Amino acid sequence: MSVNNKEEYKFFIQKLLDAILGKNISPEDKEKLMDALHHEIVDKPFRVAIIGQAGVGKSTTINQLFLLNSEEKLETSDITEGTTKVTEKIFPIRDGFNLSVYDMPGLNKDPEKDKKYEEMYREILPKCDVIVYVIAANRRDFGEDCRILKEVCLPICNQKNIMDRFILAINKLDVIGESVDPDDIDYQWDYENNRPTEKLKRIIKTRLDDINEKLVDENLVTIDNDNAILTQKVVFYSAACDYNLGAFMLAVAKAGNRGWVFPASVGFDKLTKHDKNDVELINRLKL
Amino acid sequence: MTSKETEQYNKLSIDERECYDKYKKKHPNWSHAQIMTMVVQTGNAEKVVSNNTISDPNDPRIQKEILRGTSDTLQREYPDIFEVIGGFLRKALSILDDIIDSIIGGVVNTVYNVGRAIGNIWDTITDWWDSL
Repeated sequence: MSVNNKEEYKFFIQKLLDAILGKNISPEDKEKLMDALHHEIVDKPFRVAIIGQAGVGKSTTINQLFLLNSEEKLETSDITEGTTKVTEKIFPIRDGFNLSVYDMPGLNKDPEKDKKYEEMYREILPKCDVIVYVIAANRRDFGEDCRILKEVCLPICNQKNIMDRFILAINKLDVIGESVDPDDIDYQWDYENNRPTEKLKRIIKTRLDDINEKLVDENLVTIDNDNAILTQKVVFYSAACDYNLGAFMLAVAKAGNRGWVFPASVGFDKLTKHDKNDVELINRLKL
Repeated sequence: MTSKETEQYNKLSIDERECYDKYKKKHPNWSHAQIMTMVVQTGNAEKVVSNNTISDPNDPRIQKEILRGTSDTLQREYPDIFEVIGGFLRKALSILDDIIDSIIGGVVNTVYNVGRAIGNIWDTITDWWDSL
């Protein structure tokens, strides 16, 4: 059998895992390995903490990235510290695999309340396989985000030795142009082709350079410092437009020891929903 | 700049050097690492606007992470069994690395070339399969 194109490769690589576990070892060993993987992928829910201020698109990010239907939610539980509350939502993905999402609000300059949130961050973040901090690219001032990252999130991740699970997610690339001129169609997202117009590209590039400059100036992002966010853990995307979510998925897959579990668990069928054009071909290959 | 930093600077492309020089001038107090970070991040921003990033969740880079994670888990949980299949997993990872390098380096630009590289993995698999 030959593999002649990229689409067939996608199918092939998924089969690779099946092949590794399907042959070459005794049935007993195979069962052991399958149990180990089953335990890793299915028994332990994949836990994600999503942090960010109101309106940055936390829910859209989670729904789009993990292809969730919020109506499929299994259960919701609240973790409270006085009147402060963090909600854990559990979603079924497939074959018994569950995704657990901690929806964590950003801090709000109220020292007393912030302290309680910090305590909750300290309790919850180490439990999570991936920690996502969302910033909206269209907001001019993200000094408060820098402060929360610098004074709360990164110190906790450093102390708990979980920096490799942290992803800085810069959302809302699609609406950056609206802050320049909401009436100019050239500054609007090209929804038909799902990409920025040429004029918008220049605006986005300038804005991203400004954001990057601020992050580097604050020593929040680095190429070689274990105490800061590595450049590959900074993702620019639009959840609403499903733009650049593949890069986001890669950052998730690379996060910590269990990041790979998520794309492996979601599986081929669901992942390819991101790329609907492949469905016909995939169906043919499956036959 | 130290000699190591000079070496890193010399390895940059013309555009990257321009970027380095621009930020060195703009932020004279920044360290070499900070400026290099900015060079990387500027390149990342460029990729985002040109849509030259990973758009497909089935990209080999994601598949490699799944394979790597599987491999690490099995090695951790069952090192004795891993001895049997570990060689194969390493080989598969190494071939994926080659493909990824080719894609990132712009060597593999056509579906045909990607397919040929993938065919190499398939050959490895079928050889291994046949040897059972």
